[in-house]
Amino acid sequence: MFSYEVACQDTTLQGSQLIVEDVPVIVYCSQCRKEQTLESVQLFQCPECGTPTMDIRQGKELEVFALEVQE
Amino acid sequence: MSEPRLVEVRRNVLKQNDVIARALREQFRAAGVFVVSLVSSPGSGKTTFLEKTLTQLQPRYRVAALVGDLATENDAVRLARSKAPVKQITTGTLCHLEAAMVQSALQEWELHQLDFLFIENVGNLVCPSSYDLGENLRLVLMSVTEGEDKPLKYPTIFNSADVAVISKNELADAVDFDWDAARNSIESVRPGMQIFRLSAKTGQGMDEYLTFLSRQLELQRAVMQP
Repeated sequence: MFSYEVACQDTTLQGSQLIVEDVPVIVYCSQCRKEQTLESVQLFQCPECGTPTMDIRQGKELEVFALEVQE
Repeated sequence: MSEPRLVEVRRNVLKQNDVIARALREQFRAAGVFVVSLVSSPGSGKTTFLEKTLTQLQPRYRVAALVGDLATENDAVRLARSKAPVKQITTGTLCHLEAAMVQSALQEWELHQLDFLFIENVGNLVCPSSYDLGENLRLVLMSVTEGEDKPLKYPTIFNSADVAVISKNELADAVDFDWDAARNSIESVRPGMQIFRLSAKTGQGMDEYLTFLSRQLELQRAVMQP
């Protein structure tokens, strides 16, 4: 990512690597009574039965999850 | 050199904003003011819509507005014509409002003297979706001239909003606006979303939307009763 490289220039993080992990959007389907993975964020409905749902259980996160460091 | 070591951080990048937004929401609740934020692309008619909203609510309610833009005070000047208290937030190079900007803009305001506070975000359909401003209701505006598939192109902002307004309805025929297609796009990215189709210019459809707002305020106050 261009901005990451620029931000790291001349700091101890220079040369480090930024790994972005996308997580799928998971919703709860009240019809199937279970969590389902959305196929597209343009279609908020259960991929199995087609019931519309807005009960989002995962996919809105924006977290710094971990650092891998070497001393 | 030692072996690489993994340090788990698990920190929400937007935590700082969320903390302030939560404090704002509590402040709004305690003051008994209902807060509506407006998001849309540039040029969809947010300011005209807000000017009419302020003007028409004024006889019955105490209303005020914060308005965000990168530069100029033009919108605040336009909104001031409604005679409601208006304050401009100039973001400089930032493409969205953050909770801290709202907090600092409201510092001198007596919130308990208000019924409705409107926050007009910077015209942008991307970044504002990630920033909670402590609002009670997020309203996304889309004009008939923008194309019916806008919600599919910017699903996140529509998904993060509570109600949608289709604006500039007086131009619908001129641009062959396909109402069913627009409604289906919204329903697809935000199932069950309430949609108001209106023209701020002619006033058509405004009553239904203003009645909805009044009802929201009543509901909030009913919840607050001891």
